[in-house]
Amino acid sequence: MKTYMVDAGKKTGICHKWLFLILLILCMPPLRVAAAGKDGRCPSCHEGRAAGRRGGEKQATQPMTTGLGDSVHRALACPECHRDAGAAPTHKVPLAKVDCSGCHEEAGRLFGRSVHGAALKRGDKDAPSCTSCHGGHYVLSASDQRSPVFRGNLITLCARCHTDVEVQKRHNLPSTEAIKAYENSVHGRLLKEGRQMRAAVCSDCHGSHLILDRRDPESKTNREHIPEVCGRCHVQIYNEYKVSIHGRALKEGKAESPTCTDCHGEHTLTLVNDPKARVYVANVAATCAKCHANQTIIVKYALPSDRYSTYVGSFHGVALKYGDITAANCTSCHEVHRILPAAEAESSINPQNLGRTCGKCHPAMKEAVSIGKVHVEAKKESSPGMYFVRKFYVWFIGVLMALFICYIALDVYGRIRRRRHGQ
Amino acid sequence: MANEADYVERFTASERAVHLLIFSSLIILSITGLTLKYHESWFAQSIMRLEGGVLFRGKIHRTAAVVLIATFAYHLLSIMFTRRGRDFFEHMIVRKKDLIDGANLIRYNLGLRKEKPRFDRFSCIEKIQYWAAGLAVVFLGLSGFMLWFETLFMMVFPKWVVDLNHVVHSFEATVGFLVLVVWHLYNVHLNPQVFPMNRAWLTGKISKEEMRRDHPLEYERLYGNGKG
Repeated sequence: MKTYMVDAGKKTGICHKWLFLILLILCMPPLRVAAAGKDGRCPSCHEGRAAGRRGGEKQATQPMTTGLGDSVHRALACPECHRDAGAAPTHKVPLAKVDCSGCHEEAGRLFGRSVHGAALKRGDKDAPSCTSCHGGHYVLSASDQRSPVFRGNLITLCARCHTDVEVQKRHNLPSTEAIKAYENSVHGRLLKEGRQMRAAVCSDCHGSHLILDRRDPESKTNREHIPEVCGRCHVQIYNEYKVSIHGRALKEGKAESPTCTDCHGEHTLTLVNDPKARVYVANVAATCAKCHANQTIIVKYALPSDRYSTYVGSFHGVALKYGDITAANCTSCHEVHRILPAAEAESSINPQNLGRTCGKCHPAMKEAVSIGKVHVEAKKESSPGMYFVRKFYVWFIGVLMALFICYIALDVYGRIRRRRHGQ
Repeated sequence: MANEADYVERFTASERAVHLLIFSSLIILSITGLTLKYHESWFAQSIMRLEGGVLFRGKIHRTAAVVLIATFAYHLLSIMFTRRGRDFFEHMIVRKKDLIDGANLIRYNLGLRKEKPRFDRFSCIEKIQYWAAGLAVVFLGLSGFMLWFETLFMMVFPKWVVDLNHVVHSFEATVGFLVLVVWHLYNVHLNPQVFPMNRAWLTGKISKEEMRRDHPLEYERLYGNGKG
């Protein structure tokens, strides 16, 4: 039993060959379990009471920290990973680090290109290797709830290094607060409460083996790829976003065009009904305004100006600001993900469709013939009527007040003058 | 208080009630309206909280508007159907004499004229107040209804009319508000002659002495030229 399987084969006689094969097949799993971990001569030094003592004068043996138990590698014999252990009964020098890519070629290749892989190659002590995440001897399948790389455990696993202030400082990484914000995000909460095990975890957005800096064009978290990453789960929304002006602009390489995270946040992502969410009805206008009231972006892409200020000053804007959350916000008219320019026939703000759009809240408006301009700036060129009426009133009020004040001054003067003259 | 006989009734109880309803609704309308117009200022924000939010603000504003319009209608009816009302209105009509009085008042204050213009029941000052307020109620009432029933209104008129209407309502209200605060407040409250206020709006009474001084033509019509 304490022998290699190959050896066991050799010892068997020819006449029993068939019987043995049947037995072998029947016994294979337990046999291999028995063989693995206790294979060959390794356990005599590395296991049980012997471990740590039988290493000669100078060097103690490294005890096996964990058994292979029911690990996915339970069937492997030590030398299959520790190749340099070879056939030699003992080894004087410590064995080299196991190279998993011998079998896990693809994972090894991807990891090598990742930020973690690169750091490891540089000899960075903080950099994780395969075993940092997957475990050493006791490697479990990622679908096993006990595995550190199981979806539900990933947060804890990644946080081990990414909430370490020293590591953050050494590598200029995001703060613990930024990382931990995930736990309160809608993804984090769904996962924690066990309501949706498919909710995004670290690896869904950042990748697992191939984690790259977000500035890397190939990174999953690169602006340009974010919609696809989110779209893997949020298919319908991705399809809407893809055809929107924002989606198209992003594809064309207009880097300022908003991607999912610009409106929703990443680690802080919360549901739309959370008053803190950037996409909460009362916060939508301010979120859009980050770009649509940004003079640089407005000029660069020839966007219509004053969209935000005209909205904020409108009935809708004021009503929403003071707590009427049913009042229209940007997305009520422009749609949420499928935002299209007014000139396009399918746009919700195309003059042909305005009746329907306004009609969502004002049913009678469905048949309205002429809705006209919504964002009125009261500028001489674009809204002369409004401009001149305002101008007129400003002057009218000014002159009227001046006259009133003159009258009052005159009245007071007259009284003083008459009193002085004893009248 | 002097002898009862020294006083004349200037405003009847119903006229005082009209005044009370008009000024209280106007104050409420002004506060709720200015809150919306200057919603970004700190005072508007604290008032908005006091008023119980933006929707409630609108409800208060419209309720006060209905009170004001109803009072206004009552006043119009009394002008049309009561003798006193008709009399009141006739005295309120702006005539050539008012322009002359106004010019003379300026000259009198400047010292270019010895004698104060002789007013009838309503002076040119009071007429400015009355007509400014009356026209404001008409303008603001009409434009206010357009804002109230905006959707219906927009089915007939293009949106730019609605937008203009909004601007007109807001500025017209500012004019009305300033007339009240500056003109009326000075003339019936802060004016050294009547400070802290002309009590006629409460008692409805005016002393004969006051009448002879401020409304000599009316006094003479009632009591003759000699001493009353």
